[in-house]
Amino acid sequence: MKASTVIVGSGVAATAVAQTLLEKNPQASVLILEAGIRVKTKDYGLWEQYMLTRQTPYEQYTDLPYPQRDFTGENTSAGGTDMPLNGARVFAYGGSTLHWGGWSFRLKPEDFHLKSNTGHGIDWPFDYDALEPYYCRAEHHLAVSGDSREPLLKRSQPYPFREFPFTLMDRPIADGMDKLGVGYGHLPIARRGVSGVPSRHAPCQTTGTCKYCPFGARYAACNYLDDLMEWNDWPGLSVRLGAIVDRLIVDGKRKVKGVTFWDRETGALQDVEADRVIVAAGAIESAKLLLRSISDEWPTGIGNDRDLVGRYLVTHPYFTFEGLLPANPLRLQAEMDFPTLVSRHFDSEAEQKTGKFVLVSPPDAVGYRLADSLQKGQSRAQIDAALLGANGIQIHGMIEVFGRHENRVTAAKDSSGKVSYNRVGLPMTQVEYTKDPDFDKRMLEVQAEVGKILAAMGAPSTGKKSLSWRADHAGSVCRMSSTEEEGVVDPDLRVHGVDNLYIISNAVFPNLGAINPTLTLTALAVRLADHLNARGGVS
Amino acid sequence: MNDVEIEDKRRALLARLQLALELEWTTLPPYLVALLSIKRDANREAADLIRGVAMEEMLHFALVANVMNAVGGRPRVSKSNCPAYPLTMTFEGRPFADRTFPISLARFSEASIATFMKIEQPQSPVIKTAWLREVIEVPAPTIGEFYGATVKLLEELNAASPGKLFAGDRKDQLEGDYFWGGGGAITIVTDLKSAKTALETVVEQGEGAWPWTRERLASTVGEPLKMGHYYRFSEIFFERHFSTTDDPGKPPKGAEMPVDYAAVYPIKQNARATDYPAGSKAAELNDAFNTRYTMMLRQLGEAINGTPNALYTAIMNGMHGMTSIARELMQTPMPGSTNGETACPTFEWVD
Repeated sequence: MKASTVIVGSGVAATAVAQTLLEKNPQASVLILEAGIRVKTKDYGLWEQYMLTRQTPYEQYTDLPYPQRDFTGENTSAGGTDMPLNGARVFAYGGSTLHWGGWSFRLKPEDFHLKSNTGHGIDWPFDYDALEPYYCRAEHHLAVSGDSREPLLKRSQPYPFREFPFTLMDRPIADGMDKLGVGYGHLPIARRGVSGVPSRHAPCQTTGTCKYCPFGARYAACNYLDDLMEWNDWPGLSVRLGAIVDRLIVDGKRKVKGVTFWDRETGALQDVEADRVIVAAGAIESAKLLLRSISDEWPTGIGNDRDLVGRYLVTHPYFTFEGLLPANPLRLQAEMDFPTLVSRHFDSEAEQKTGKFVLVSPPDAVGYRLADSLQKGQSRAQIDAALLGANGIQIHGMIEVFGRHENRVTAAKDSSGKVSYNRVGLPMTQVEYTKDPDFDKRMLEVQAEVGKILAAMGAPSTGKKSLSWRADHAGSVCRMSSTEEEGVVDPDLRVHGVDNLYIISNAVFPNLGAINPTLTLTALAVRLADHLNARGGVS
Repeated sequence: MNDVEIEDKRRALLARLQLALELEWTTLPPYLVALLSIKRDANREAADLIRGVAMEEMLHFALVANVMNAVGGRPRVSKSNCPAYPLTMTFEGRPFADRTFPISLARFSEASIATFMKIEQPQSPVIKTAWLREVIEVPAPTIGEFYGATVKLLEELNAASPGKLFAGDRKDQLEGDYFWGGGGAITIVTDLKSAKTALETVVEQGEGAWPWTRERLASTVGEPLKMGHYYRFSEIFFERHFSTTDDPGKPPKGAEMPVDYAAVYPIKQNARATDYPAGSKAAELNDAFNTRYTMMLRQLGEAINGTPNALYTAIMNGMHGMTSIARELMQTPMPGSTNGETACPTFEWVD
């Protein structure tokens, strides 16, 4: 088996790289290896099942919770703070784009200068302006609907689709923020709208069932790859499912010559030769693949001579706070399954040193659930009373935390040193994560700021809150750096010390900022493909 | 014009618009059959050209429906007017002057592309009388003339009762939300001007257009979605792209676009459901196909009769679901065939 370019993984990074490579060179040979299998998308039957049961068809391709006394579970958590993997990512064709929410933010200029501004971590090897054109292309690739007049960030091209309007339910939070002078805007989201540009993908109909879109209007990488295969735009593109990449094969110290994968169906190991390999397997799996690719030349894993692979693990703590609206005369309740209002007021240079954060008016900010009332068999009068009366209202958000050398991912091993495999067939993961000592103090500051907004809304805090460290945005574990002392990949995303091995995943982010990483990942993927196209040398 | 005359003309207009709807509908199954008969990894450029034309025929269907709804008509999509192939479209009992030949459900071939070219051929003046079995017969109009006369009727009626013709409900109009696939822009019809724009789009893009000038053709070279249907089919037929210096009246002389007519499923032409023995795989698949086709048509009928939202369901749940069944059917051997023919969806209405 041979391909010019082998891409490990079939998520958004793989798709954006493959598409950009092939647009430039339609005859290029590109093989995508995906460990998982296909989950049917855009299927009305599965959609109905999801609506009735709230069970998604990809649920079985996620990590199980960590083991507990009476539950075998998967993976291990070895640090002081549990960072759950359960529900954080999807191992299937299309990767985590099967379940993502579509929030598509750009980083802010200061995010590229974290070290210079705060002393934390490292700086990016380039700045916002250098990435800006790629952000535009990424917004087109993901079909983002957003507000092109938003003054917060400089942009050279409008969003491909106009923003979704605020919902009525956003009003109390918007009012509260207005009173305090806290800025907010439209949340950019990867849901296709309608424009004059033809597309083979369908626009959003706001069915409010985004976790399983019946039309494929919310970007899912597999729908795009399927479309390219279906219409055979590029004969050299192929996708192999159930191909669990076991290791990268080196050819001397400075080169890889392919990968070895397990064929899920036959159980056999198989080699693929490649002129270059692009690892796009998500942050955690990308790092683990490098770590387990041990050879005489790379005794601790490829690219890991300085023990940096898998380290500096970060994610976004996701917090919720609740206030109580004394009455709900507008009958505010959930309208759409995605948020429309975001405040990046605290996602600012001023907050960067202690941890910048965004605040979101979630799609179900007002706690009232009509479906629950109906299921309980409540009468119209009871429903009216519940809806019009006092109701909880929530504000959600995410906050930036900083990479620490001791926080890392590796392959989980049992007491005898043996690796065990998860239900997809990948080695299980050990997460070692401990939050910073002053993190709780910082969250009290966040709580105070949110408390002010809730008070201004006339919905004083109930004290109810939550915080999740789930690894949805796990990143930085193969971070990008100008020098090999500081990171794993160079500014072109090439693994330091290897000529033809690249990583494109959230793993390469030096830091995450306060926002969802997918748009930036897509921009980096397009940028990587441009670099490879310019570099040439591979058919 | 007195009220009786107005009502007569209005009825004539609605009858014409209903026929126009059927004209557009009729072209779709043949284009889609030819498209889907192409094996997946072959003839990609040709397939994209046919697909683009088919998308525009769907747009034309929607545009005609919008005009009909705008003047208070009730577009009919039903068993009684579901096209059966081979089919010759007639106007007042006679074939259109430029459509005297039957259209078939047939595989992608030189012959089928030649037919498609004839369907989409720019009109040329047709001599109004012709000798036929030594009886002087006045042929029906060309499709271009038919549409031209329809526009004229709209103008007359609008002038005769200003402000009254376009009495349809604005909410019944199909809007742009449903045409994301490259069929062009939909026109919301509320008055004479928008009605004319809608019908001009129908004529301009496809059947009934006047021959293009050299400049116009040159401006669409390399942009197949803007090129007239006839010219797109010409590219396939002559296996060459047009270049910017080509004469629209002559075959294209640009870059080669090789076509492989062998990389096609050898489907049976104009198959009917009765051709498939009960219990056979072909019968089972074809029934499934026709059930979906019928459901999709019903949804389409709803969409153009007061529930535009139903169009989204028709597209996503109906149309898109039909493709995979059609492809499977075309790979299924025709029961009892001795010449290797495979089955084909029959596009029949089932109750």
